[in-house]
Amino acid sequence: MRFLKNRIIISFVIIVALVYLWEFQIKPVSGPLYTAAVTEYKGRNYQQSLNLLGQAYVIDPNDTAILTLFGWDYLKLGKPDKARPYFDRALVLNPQLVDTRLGSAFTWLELGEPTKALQEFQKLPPTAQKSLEARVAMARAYRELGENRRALELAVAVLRENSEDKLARKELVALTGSQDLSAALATPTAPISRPAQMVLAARLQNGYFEVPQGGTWKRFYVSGVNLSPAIPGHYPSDPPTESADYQKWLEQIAALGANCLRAYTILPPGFYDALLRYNSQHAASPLYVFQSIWIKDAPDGNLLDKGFTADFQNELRNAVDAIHGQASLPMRPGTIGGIYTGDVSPYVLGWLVGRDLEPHVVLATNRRNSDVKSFSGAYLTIEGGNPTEVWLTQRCDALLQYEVEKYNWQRPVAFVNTASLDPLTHPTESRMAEEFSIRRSLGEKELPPLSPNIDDDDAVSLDPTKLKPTATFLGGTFAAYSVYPYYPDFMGLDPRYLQGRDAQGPSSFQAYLEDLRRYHKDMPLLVTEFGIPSGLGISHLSPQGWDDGGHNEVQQGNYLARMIRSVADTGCAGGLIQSWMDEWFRSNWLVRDFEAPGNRTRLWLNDLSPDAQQGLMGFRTARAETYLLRGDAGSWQPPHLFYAKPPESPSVRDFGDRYDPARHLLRLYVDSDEAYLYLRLDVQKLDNNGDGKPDWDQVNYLITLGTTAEPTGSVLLPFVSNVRVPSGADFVIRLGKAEDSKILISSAYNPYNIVPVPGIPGQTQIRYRIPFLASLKQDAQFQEMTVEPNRRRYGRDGHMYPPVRYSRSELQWGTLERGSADYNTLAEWHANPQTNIIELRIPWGLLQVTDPSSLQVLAGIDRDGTFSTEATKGFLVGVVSYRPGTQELADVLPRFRSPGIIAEEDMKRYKRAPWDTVPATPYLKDSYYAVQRALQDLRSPRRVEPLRAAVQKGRRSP
Amino acid sequence: MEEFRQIFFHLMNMFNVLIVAYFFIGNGIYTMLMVASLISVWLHNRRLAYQGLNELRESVVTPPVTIIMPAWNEQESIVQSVRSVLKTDYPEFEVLVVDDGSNDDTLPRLVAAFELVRMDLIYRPRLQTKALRGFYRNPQIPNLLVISKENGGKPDALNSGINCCRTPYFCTLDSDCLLERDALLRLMRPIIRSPINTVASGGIVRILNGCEVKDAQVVKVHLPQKRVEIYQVVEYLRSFLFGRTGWDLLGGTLIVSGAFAVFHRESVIDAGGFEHDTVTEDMDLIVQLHRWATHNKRRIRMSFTSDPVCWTECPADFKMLGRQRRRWQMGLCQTLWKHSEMLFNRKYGILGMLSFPFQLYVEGLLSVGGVLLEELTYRRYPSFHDLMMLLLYAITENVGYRQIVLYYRFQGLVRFITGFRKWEKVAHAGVS
Repeated sequence: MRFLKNRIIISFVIIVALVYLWEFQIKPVSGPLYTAAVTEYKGRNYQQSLNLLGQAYVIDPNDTAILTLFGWDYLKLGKPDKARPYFDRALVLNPQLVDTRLGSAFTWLELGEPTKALQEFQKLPPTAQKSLEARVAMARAYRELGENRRALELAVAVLRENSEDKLARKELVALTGSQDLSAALATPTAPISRPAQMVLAARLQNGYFEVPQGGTWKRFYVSGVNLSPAIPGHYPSDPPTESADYQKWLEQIAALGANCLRAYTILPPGFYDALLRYNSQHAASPLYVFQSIWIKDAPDGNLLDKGFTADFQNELRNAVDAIHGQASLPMRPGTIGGIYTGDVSPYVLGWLVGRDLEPHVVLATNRRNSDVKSFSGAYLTIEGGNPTEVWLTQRCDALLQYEVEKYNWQRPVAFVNTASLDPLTHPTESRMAEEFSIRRSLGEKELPPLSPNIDDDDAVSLDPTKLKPTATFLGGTFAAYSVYPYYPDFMGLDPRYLQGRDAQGPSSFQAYLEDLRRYHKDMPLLVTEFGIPSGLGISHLSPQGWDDGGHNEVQQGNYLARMIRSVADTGCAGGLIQSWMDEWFRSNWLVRDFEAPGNRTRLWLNDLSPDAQQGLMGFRTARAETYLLRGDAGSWQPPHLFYAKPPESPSVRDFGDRYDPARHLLRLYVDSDEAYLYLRLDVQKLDNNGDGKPDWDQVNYLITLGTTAEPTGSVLLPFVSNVRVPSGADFVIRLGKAEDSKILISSAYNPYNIVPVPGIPGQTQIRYRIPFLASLKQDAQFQEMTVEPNRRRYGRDGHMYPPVRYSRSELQWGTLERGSADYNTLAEWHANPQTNIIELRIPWGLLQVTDPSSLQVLAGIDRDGTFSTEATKGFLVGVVSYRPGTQELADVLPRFRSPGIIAEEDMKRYKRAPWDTVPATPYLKDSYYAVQRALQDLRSPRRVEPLRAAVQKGRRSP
Repeated sequence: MEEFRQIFFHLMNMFNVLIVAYFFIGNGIYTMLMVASLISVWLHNRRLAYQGLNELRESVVTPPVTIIMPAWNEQESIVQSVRSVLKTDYPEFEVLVVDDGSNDDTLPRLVAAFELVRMDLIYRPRLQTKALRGFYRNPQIPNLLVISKENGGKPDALNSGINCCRTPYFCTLDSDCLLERDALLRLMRPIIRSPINTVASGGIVRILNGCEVKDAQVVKVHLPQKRVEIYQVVEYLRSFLFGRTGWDLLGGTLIVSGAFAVFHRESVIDAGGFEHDTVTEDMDLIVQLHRWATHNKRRIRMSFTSDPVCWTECPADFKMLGRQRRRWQMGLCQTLWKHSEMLFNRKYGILGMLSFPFQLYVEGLLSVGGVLLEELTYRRYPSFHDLMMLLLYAITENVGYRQIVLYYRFQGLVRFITGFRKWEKVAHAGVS
């Protein structure tokens, strides 16, 4: 027992007891935290769940349940790369965990590794493999691997057990394009029936397409649209899969009067099924299709790269199989596929190989393979071509061979060309290198180094007339061009084109088509793309008004109608409007830097990006139908009330004249959607002269907006004496006479400035301020938001074409109410004297919001030229009314803290919830109906004669 | 199965907690010691500035000291050692060589070298020892006395020496040590200057390997050649920083190297002398002295001088190093176990509350660090190359050497627990 009294023994016993106490009694346990995290996970608050797990993890870093939930949280947050290590660790600790294994498989799926995902699924115990969730996921993995039949079986089996399973339904639709469960498995791929006699789907005759009809050939003038189905929230590589969507569009396209459309790439099976269904229902007037095969980016721009060529060859075969209903292609992110069973081959008018290639790609290909000059294939030959032309000829030939060998069908073929690569010479279009030497010779300094990726629009060409069909090829080749009225620059600079006219006025589009027609002589010429966007922003200006943007939908329709005429009048084989639908994701060189993060542009509509609104079918934003800018008080709901003054409270200052009611501010409402910030300002009385109009000489309004997180912009407001916003105004909106109504930017927040051209006196250019950081200045002036869509250029003769600029600041007056005299789809503001309501809608892009869906605004430009953004805390809004002549203040919203001071504490911040998905609400633009009328005119018999005349004219020309 | 996993994880967690606690406490105390050491060295340097040794050397009241040298089978070096010791610079001292029943030529060589004559003397056996065989001396060398006794181990030999000692202070000296000339003066100075009874005074032992020795004196300091030796130099330097200087300042000195230390004879006798039940009798004696003083309410003091006092040879291969370290570790454990009563005993002040637990938990159970090592001197390694080599080895020490030493110490701990008490003699290459 003496032994037990030994202090060392006692001390060890105490230490062990303490450690035991710590381990089992005192130590914080992860259990409750984990339970809370699970609750948050179930409530879909994944970030919150992660925070709790973080605490639990510190306590129990080796708890597989915690690790697994970590993985699932990250997976649900769309960060599979972060989920990966957690699942891996949990599985190392215990390979038997079913939930973890499942999560790991899903992670591999999300990471684009379907093979690894399948391996994980196969490691699951058999009971777990049978679970609906696992089977749907396996279906997805099989689909991504191209084992579509297996995927379909799994998805159908799941749906038989639970017809409500959304993911399984998605698989079903992705694979077959149809919701129909019974038909899915019942539609097997038909056996290939290769007719002994070669079938000609269409041919070319006298410059036009011809299709078989009732045993004879009938001329087919192509009028149609381009279909690149990128609905809001999606990319073209992630198109709708359901046949019903396409069916609806096809009906609308047919109702437009179009007889044809172009599939930009291999579309999902649902499209071909819909086409087959539509044509079987409308056998007398079927819709035809041009099938394009998209060229991806080649390694180092070298199209002749062996691996790249093999991949493209594969893509060509897939396209042939797809239109014959004999393909089963893997569908994975970025790749369209599914089970193709619908045989639409009789309706495919022709093949369009490739896309609008960039000149630098053609140059790079030609440079690397200068010895490739000719090719002689079974169906096409080329002599004295450049390497790109030869490569395209080879691909076309291979495509034809494959179709003949497998299906014994032929049809016309062309490679896709563009005005930038046309074989014509454009004297105004100097190459950048030429231009730089001219500019240097004129004394200009500090020219940047020449980039190898510059796309000169008259540096290299692709000439379709070099392609010669052999005797065995009956389909024939044609020329296929993308032509736009505002681009390249020669459309607006070359005097020959500027002199061009169509029936309604100047049209370089017409003149250029004539030129093109003349060059290609007998070869049929198809305008595969032409168009003009609607929308507020302009990214290229044309001296004749054919600008790239800045047109409302009616104007867009007018221009399109004129172009439709020009295509027909110049003797083209037809034209395809770019495009059927708006594509929100599309950006444009002038706005690209102001759209960040770049992978979210599909989630919102930037009205400043013309490329996003080229369609005949647009998509309504959430509030587009609600706020029609017509002064309708009822459309605004109470939650959007931002500021309200008690009715009896007086103005800050009354002038004692009859205009005081117009200057008396009552309420401000604020709301927004995927494209615009909406404001509604209520005043006591707008019409003071009794003439039904506000008197803008007596009252003006000024709205201040602070958009950034930190106080930036100017403190002192313009136009009105001694009013200050200490937290800074980044923008002010002045409402008054048409020429005064503008949105202006504080020079402290303006990323652009106008600088002199070094070495050339009197010349200026608009450039980014680099570096630039939004700051707060006491009295920084407010500036117009001027951009330079057309830079200064030089013709090959040294003639200078000055830059063309325009100000985005001017606010468009109008209403969105169809039928109103002020109807204008570009309308930004409107005042209704009856209801005393002023309404505004400001595009996000104009406010330098780089992504409204994640609340990002421009913060500055770094030294290396990269744009930085920040999350806004909300917009600070203030309103004042004043007398414009004397600049005397009248009233303010919300209030003055001390005379002339609108304090941050008094202002509210307007902030909307971020979003990650967006509904697609299509509508037909006004331009749709204009095009409909134009196509109707075209079909009337009197149009035939000019067509012939144009062809004759083309032949006569030198 | 799941239960076993749970238990296993709990055990792992508990072990983890222990490791973390050890890490924090151990390194915390090391840091504290390092700060204390720096302060101590600074104070010592300041004192040296106006204190010479001359006044002590020339004083007539400087107490005489007996240097007790136990020797067992040291025929190779004993004569050299004794000659060296006799040259010690001290006013009045006696050298007492205790031949612990050597079965080689240790005694004959001494007799021959110093022309000793055997004589029987009477002494007072205040401490129980093995029987003495005889005394040898040479009247021409009055301050040299050789005692021959039956073999009884080093503590027994030391006790015999104490019995025969005439002076109030005695000094223990391992026969393989090389003494600094003024070492004794340096060690005695704190004793003389202190108003309190200083029962023990120790200094720094340094590594002799590699140094140039002439006429039993170190004339030039060099790094040794072998890796294992250099590592030990690093270890010595480090333990000087972290170790004893700091403890001395805190008043918690628990270890004084018995290789060369001065003790107060009466106190040692009262405390019971050197005991046989541990293999590190010097450490045991220090603890014993503390306990004796506490029990009898005596105010005592122990001094640690950060001056170099003597040089010793360190093991030159891993086999020898292992033996040495196993012995030290076992001795430490034995001592701690024997005096377990002191653990967290407030009566013993700093010693009981801090030093003892530190030695027990940090050094005794797990840590590295020189247990019975002496520390760095002020005579630095002069060549730049040597200094760089030292730094390099100080880094690489952490990989390999430290683990090996830890392994030896673990073996020592195991031997203590399993009761393995046999001595392991450390073989030294002859020094001359």
